[in-house]
Amino acid sequence: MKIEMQKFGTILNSRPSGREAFLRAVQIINGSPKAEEVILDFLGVEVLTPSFADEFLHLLRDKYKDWVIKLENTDSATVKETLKSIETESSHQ
Amino acid sequence: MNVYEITHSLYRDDFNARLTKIRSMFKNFGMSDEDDVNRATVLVGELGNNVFDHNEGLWPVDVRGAIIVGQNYPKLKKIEVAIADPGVGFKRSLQLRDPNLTNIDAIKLGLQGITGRVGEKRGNGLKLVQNWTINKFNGIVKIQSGNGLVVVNKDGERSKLVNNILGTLASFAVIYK
Repeated sequence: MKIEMQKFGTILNSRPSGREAFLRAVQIINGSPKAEEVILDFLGVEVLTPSFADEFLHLLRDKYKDWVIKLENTDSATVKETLKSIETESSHQ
Repeated sequence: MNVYEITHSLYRDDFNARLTKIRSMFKNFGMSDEDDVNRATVLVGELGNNVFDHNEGLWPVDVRGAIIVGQNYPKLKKIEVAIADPGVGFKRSLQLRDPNLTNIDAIKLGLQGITGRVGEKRGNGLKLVQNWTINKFNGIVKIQSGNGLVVVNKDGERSKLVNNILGTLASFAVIYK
């Protein structure tokens, strides 16, 4: 099950937007054959803020606790560095 | 010196939509590295998010929103962006945690990632703004709220008492290639 993050926009900003994107992602996942794996594809995403990423990823990980959630095409600077920063913060909480 | 048009985003959606123009502003000013353009856009995004995250439902006067201005100093290859809001400010925002905080204390806590949104797992934004401004751009972050001013750069953090303002004036300056 692959979710193309750029379909939520090439600039992904703010917690409310992250929450809306999460709700849409749940719809997409629930409408797909059960695979217990989600791939988040960041291809084409230019700007990813910690607010959006933190809200989206935490909600998704809470909802699908036993699933494998993979991140793909995270090479662009803000995607890579933002994801690193929120993973670091999570590990400190 | 170039000055970008001053924008006043009344609502969060308006601010989000303007980020595309803010991103273009950095390019038009001469920031050529695409990664730096995107990083600088994140800095504006996070500072603008804070305006709405901490003030919705609490605006103390009948003016609301985020006022943003960008300035370019081409000879210095420096861009400064300021985001101002007539909101509750750091002190009132963090009073739920500690009612005795001064404005300077509150700003310093905010920069450490302590949030006024008690009980919620959040507060990374300002830490990241500080980290990227200093480590990716060798820049400077200045935050004034109430009568407190805190300035952070690679040499550390300085603070002083200044004339009182309503709300917050957050700015960063970045040096580009």
